[in-house]
Amino acid sequence: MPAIYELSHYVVRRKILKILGASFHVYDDSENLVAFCSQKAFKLREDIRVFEDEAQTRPLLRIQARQVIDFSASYDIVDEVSGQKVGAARRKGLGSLVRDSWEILDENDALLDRLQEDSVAKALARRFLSNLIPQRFQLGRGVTLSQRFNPFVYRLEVTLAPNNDIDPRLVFGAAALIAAIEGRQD
Amino acid sequence: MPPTTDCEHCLNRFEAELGLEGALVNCPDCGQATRAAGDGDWLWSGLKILALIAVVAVGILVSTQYGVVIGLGAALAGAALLWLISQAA
Repeated sequence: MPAIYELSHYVVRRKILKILGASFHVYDDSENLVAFCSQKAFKLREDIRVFEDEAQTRPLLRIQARQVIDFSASYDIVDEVSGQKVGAARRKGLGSLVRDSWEILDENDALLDRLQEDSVAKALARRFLSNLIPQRFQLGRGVTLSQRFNPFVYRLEVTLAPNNDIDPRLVFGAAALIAAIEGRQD
Repeated sequence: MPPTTDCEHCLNRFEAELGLEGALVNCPDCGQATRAAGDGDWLWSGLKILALIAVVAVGILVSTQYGVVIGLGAALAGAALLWLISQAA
């Protein structure tokens, strides 16, 4: 099993000042690179590929949007090691106007859990006062995704509680989506 | 009734669950993810049809003003641009 799925804590770092496409790196607590993610530029339909290495030789996940227009878009998450779809994430378009809200689905689109910004007040402050206020997401009861303040580098910390029952591939897929989609709004 | 999907890996023919049109689904035979038949992206499809109508309308308008050849050229240029954009999807 790839190392990232056995970690209980990792950090996603994304360079904000990248002109074409987007890419981000994922590090463990010892600052070792455990995953690398790239997004293709000029693609209307979101297509995110995650690899174990920066040379992009060992694919981990493929995340593909079902729709081109992504108001309430769904993203299928495929484990590239087994070739199987492990689930999907659906952005709640209307709900996300106030606070970012996602549904995590199984391979047949049945709801597994919700991923939400933790505070309506902070979400509103981010939208109307300053987007420098870091976001914090809660996925079920066992997973938190916390953005760290840094105006130049998007940094998202992912923490999995030992008793959480969500597939780590779905957690990582959700974190990649948050970094790619929500991070882009900064 | 959901449309029939052909698995892109093992060519098995199956029906994906309703509501998963256009989504990736696991083939019941080989277990690999494959795109389910059907179009779940109705908004994008609608936009493509509207854009096509717009190209035809522009072609007709230009041809009434500047002649059929230039109108046809404008319509072809518009169609080529639409095709390029659709490739990015």
